[in-house]
Amino acid sequence: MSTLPSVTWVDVSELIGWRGHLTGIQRVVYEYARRIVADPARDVRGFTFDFAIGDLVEVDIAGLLDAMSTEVAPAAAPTGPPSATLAPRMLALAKDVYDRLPADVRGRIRDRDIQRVLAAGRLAFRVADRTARIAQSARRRPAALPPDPQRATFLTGDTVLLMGRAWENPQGFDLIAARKTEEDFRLVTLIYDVVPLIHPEFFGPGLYERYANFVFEALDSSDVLPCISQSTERDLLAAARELNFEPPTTSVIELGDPQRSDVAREQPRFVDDGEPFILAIGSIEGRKNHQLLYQAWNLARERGIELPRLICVGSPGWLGNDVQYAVLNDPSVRGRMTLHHGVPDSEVAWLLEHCLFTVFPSVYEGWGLPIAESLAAGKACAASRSSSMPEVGGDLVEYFSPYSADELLAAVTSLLDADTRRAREERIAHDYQARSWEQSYSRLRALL
Amino acid sequence: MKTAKRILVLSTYPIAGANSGGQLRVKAIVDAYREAFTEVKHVGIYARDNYPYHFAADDIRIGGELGAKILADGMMADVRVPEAIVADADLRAQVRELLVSFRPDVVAFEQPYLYLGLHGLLNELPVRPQIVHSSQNVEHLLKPEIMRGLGYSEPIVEAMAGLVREVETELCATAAVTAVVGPADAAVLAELGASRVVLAPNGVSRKETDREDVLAWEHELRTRGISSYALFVGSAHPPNLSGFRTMVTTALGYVPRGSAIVVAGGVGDMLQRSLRGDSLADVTAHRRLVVAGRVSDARLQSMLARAAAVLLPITEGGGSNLKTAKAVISGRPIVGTSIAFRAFEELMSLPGVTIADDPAAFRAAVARALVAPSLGLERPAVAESVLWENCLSDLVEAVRAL
Repeated sequence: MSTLPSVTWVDVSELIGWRGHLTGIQRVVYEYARRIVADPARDVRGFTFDFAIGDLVEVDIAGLLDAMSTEVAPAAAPTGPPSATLAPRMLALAKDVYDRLPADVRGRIRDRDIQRVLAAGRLAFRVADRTARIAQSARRRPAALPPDPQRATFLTGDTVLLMGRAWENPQGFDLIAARKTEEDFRLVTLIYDVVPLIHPEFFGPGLYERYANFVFEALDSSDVLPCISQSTERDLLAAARELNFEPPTTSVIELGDPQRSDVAREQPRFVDDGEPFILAIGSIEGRKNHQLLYQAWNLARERGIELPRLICVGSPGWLGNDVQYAVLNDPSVRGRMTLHHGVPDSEVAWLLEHCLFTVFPSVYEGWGLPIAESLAAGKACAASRSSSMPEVGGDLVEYFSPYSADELLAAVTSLLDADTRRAREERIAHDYQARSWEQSYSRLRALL
Repeated sequence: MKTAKRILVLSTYPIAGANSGGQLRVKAIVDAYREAFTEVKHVGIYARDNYPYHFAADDIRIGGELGAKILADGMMADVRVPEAIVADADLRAQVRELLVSFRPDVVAFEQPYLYLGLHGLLNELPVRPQIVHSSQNVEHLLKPEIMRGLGYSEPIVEAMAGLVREVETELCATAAVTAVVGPADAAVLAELGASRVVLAPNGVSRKETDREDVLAWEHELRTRGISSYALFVGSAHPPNLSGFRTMVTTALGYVPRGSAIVVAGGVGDMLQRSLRGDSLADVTAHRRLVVAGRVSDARLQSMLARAAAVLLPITEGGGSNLKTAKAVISGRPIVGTSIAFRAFEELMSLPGVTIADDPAAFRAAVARALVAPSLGLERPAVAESVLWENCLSDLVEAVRAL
């Protein structure tokens, strides 16, 4: 009797909703999925939960990844926004027209009139840049589900890999768990963190319950639970104990560092040439703790300590409004702390390269990725010492309590000293072991 | 042949629509007396709105302001009713009329509380009836325990404990017969002065399952994807909830997929209300928990008939438990504490009975029972001892001898 070859099923729900820019979890799914698909030893199929029919359906994972690869891979020569390509030509043309005007006409044009025309031009290009970005995203959107989806059938001996936000889709997870009582497939559920259970105050109403139920089912149904840090593994084991589960099989697989080496650098308009600045990367949300940065920068002013501008880049998130409002309206930090949303990768890469150092005050992280990003760029970093942060930064980072503006200010002032910073950068260059996605995948592969 | 005696049984609750353990016990005692004696009357004296739906014509239901005041006193109602009998002229007249018109040979107090209100009236009667003290628990020990659990302040708890001890002691000294549910209670009440102590443990009636209802219950289980479950049945009595939370818990990671803990009876509603939205265990409990709440007798029999195990997570309280008797007579496997088997000690070694007093061991036993083949167990004849007629025979004979 012949047996069917085993299949590795990968949940690609996260990528179905891709809109041209990968979020944190989408990036992880993408990096692992493309390596699994390229693995010659595996028969790989993708699946997702189809809400229309209430079932798990197959997805052409290779086709999906192909459609994404040309856009996700770092662009060697970006075409640039309209302002970059058209503005110099328009300016040259305007100068040429001005030069051809009769002298008496030129004499009647005041400087103020020229400034007005330039301001109108700048506004027009800002609109054009944004429109181009939206158009590009729309082009990138891959075909979602096929019109006639096939049911994803997991059989005994198969492996099912969940890497997405399964807590957002309890029906899908319940279906998988229910099927596991019928077929003995191996379920591998990647755990990023259990932060909503530890710090529910940083999330919207209802997430605590949804997340708790996801953790319960993940603990109950999974054969192995890879965790992205020792900190996450500790938290998961504590939750298992609290819920009276037998200790689950876990393993730590650290994520690969963000790859920005091939990304073209582009100076953002909000930074002047030669301006010294400190950089904070991360969404502007309560848990990321920009409030502490705001307090530390105010504390410095109170103590007469001159700090360079703090540039915070990240998309707006849950409970970030208060600090945004304070930063925008508090005259004492105006121009000394600025928040920027929708900053393209090329500009973030430039900011990383040109900042004095980075700061990351997050209260809790499954994996403090901005620390790895900073160290991979050879930049010193001051970070909170909570959760996974010390695992990421080792002894290369200046740590502080996420609840102490005083400690944060001390860490920042220490790194402002050029000798200290240089010494730290030399140590980073010498000691920091970059984490590659290949290494990370090889750990995951061993569990599949 | 019935013995010619007029027996008056008094309690602080009705027995019409008997549902809680206490009500079922009094009803069984009244039924047993009616089998044995010529005239038996039960009268419940209680705040009307405490039992608005089920009552008998003979009951003395206290309404109006007085009833509302008693009701508002919560756990103190048991002593507020007898205090009202002493203080309220109308109520006192009503109770006196009952005693005068019925002319009981025996007044049987179910629990000691009403004696506090009646002993004066009894002394005024031309003929003094014999007194029977039917105890369910050692009240002066249990009551403070429950009140502390409900958050009453210590001075109130202490005052209540003192009062209850006083009346319990007086009744023990006065009663011609004191019935207890177990040997442990017998020892305590004997120390308080009880002279003729008889054992009358709680029991059950033998009940048949309703085939149609079993099929309906099985259908419900299939709909919920449950192939095996452990059943806990209890009334809305605070120790039932605390026992469940200590031994079974709402952290149900140890319950395998496709299995569940089913909680029936008033304790289910109590459990549901107690679930906290900020507790990891509580918010995930319904992954493996079915709160059936109050169910019909037929459904309870169906639930018992299909249970992989019946749970007796009793950690406090005196007396014996009806739920223990029900579990034993059901013939299903049992996981229980040794406290649950107080007064049924000889049944602890029956086949299919697992005793676990350590919470972790209790849960491990539940997990084993859920995955074990669900076979009915043949209980030996000793299990018949839990039927009411056997449990109450000594009490009936002691009263007959008065």
